[in-house]
Amino acid sequence: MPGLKDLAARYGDQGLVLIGVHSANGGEKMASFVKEQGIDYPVAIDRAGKPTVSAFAVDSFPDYYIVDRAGNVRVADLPNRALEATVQALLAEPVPAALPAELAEASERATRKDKRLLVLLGTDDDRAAFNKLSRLDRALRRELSNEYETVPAPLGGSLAVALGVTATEPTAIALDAGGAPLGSIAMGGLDRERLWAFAREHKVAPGDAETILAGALAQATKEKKRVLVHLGAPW
Amino acid sequence: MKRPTLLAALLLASAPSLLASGDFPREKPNPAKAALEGKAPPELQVDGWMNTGGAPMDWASLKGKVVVLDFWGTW
Repeated sequence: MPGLKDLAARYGDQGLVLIGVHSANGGEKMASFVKEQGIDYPVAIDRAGKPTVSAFAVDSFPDYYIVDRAGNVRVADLPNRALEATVQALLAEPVPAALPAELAEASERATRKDKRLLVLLGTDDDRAAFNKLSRLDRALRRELSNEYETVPAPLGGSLAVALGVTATEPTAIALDAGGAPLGSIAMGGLDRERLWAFAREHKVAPGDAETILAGALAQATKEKKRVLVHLGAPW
Repeated sequence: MKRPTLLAALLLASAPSLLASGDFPREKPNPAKAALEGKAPPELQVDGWMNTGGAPMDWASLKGKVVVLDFWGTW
């Protein structure tokens, strides 16, 4: 713990935050220990039933997880000796641009449903033409509505500026759920095949079934549970 | 003379890509942990926050930061 306090102090001004999650076992002893040791970074106690320890698949104490500036788990979990070097490497990564306010709600929905964002820059007429094309057949309409949260915006408006789009023609832009642009396509003269290819190219890659199953089996073994495989679809 | 130069060039060429791929060491292989990587972390279902001014912390307010999450105990 003194090592962590020191780490938090030395890299705090560069953007490092340390959070200690105390095991539910012996949780009542945390407060006095923290005061005694002068631990000054945020700490809290896992709830009864260990929901946080389970969600992170913690199997020994201490276990260190590191989350990068983009907000994703980067390493689960780190050996103690690699902690400082990994912190340094991740602090050196650029801070992602803040999400434009116009994308906030759609980004929240896309994150929750594991979808991408599709910003349609143009006039209402441009979007009507785009929607007509996308509704030409069921498969394409499904692909778009299952994989994308759509956001309308005018060309040259604040969202276009925030995304750095200088196009003067109606444009569809695919972004990840966090608002990072992935690709764009002109809406004028778009046909079914090209829209289909565009939607396919930028949708969320399906999870690898073997990796997902292996993770579930490991978790089930640890918790002496069984695995229920549910084959389904998001719609 | 040629060999060391070539070796040095190869090392230089591979070093940035190793960093860029984020190939950091893991404590030990664990599929349940590996499945968490590259995604937003699970919610912190915790109580009794200290050193936060009384407010709970959540991931949304930590965007842009590098966060080390330490699972620990006092026994």
